[in-house]
Amino acid sequence: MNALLSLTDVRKQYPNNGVTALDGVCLDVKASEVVAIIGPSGCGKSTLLRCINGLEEIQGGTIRLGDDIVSDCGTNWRRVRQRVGMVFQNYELFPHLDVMGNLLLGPKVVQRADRAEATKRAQQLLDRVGLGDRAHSLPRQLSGGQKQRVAIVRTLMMRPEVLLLDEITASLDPEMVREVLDVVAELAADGMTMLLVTHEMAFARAIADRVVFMDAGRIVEVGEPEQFFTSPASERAQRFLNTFVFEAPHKPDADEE
Amino acid sequence: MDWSVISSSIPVYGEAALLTLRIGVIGIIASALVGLLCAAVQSFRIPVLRQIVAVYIELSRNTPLLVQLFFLYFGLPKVGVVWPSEVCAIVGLTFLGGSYMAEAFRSGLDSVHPIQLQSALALGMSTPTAFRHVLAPQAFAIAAPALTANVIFLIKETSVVSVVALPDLVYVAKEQIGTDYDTSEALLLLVAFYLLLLLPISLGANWLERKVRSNAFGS
Repeated sequence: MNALLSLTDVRKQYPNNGVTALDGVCLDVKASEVVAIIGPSGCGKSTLLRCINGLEEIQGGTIRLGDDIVSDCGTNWRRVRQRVGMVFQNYELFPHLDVMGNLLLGPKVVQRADRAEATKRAQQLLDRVGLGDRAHSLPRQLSGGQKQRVAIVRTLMMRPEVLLLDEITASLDPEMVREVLDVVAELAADGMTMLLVTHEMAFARAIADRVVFMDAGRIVEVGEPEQFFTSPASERAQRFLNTFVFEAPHKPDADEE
Repeated sequence: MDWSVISSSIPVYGEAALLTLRIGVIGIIASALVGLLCAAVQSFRIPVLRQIVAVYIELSRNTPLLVQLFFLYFGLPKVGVVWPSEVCAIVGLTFLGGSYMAEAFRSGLDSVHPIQLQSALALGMSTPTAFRHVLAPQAFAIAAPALTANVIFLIKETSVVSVVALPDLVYVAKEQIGTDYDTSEALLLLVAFYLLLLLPISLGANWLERKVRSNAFGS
């Protein structure tokens, strides 16, 4: 089966400081596949997502979406971005619009969708993520977890083929992480193709079909979650995973001295 | 103080106040449009246009309206451009107000986080669409206090348009003092009419400011 999203030798360099963020990344994502990208801070995992929907320009390589090459200079990013939805770390809801306004803006101004139909769909999706009664709340009246669920629904309103989730639980209080991850798990069960950058190792292990470990702008290791988390092949991945393990610090005996 | 002089002068001042208001309102609307355009050019760093806007803003903010009006009314005819007084007044006020409005809008736009734009683009919006539906409304709410201060400032600035022979409030008062020596009456009427014009605008501006801000951010 052909890959839905295919990256070949993608290179990205920041023009102002010359830092190489992506150094020849190759990755195929099949339809309905959930791929978790993990790695240390600054390894290029967020940049990778942002290159896929054109928020960052790449300097080399190709990005294919279905049969279309989307990374050449004539790319109609507005069309690509409707096919590749993105959810941000800090929700980025539009603060001047209520929840329904946030959900309807894209369909209205981008897709010229029928208003009644879009409203109905928005309400259905809100019901599904447990926010059916918050359609007329303003973003500031919602908790972080609720905002992130609205942000996911806002992206789904555009009927994307692929979802890019960029550390979507990193800004949340721990007790709100679960409600957001439950929504993602449900999407995965529905067959949504997703590429997610995360620091939630347990979640990545539970939900991902494949785990991609990145370091210094390169993909170091790709594996099945069970295999990757129990016995990573590379030493760098091993070291990275160890940083999530906590051992009780050795306490010197109080009477010693 | 001769109250009969005052009551008989009221219609003349009323008419002058309407002229002041007309110049002010048209000038302010035009200023806001010019300002929004300039702020967008600066915020998106559009080459060439950006430099032109920067020069315009410096020129506009660092010359008095009085001098700008002299230039429009007495200077331009020398190169064959003759505009009626009222057009000169409106163009002059817009030239002045545009830069003040631009700075107000720009401070508003600058305080909207850039990732809001990305979030709009990520939904498939074009940059102009994102500007219109996502950035401008937020910038407007943040800029509201500066914008309403500009509105009041610009209406007060209309008090110099009498130099291009427009019968505004100041012109009428000067006339009355010059021909009838009714100095106290004229000055009292002048103050009263300016207050009559500006107080409601000022109160309305306060109300609008609160409403816009609470709509947008609820503070």
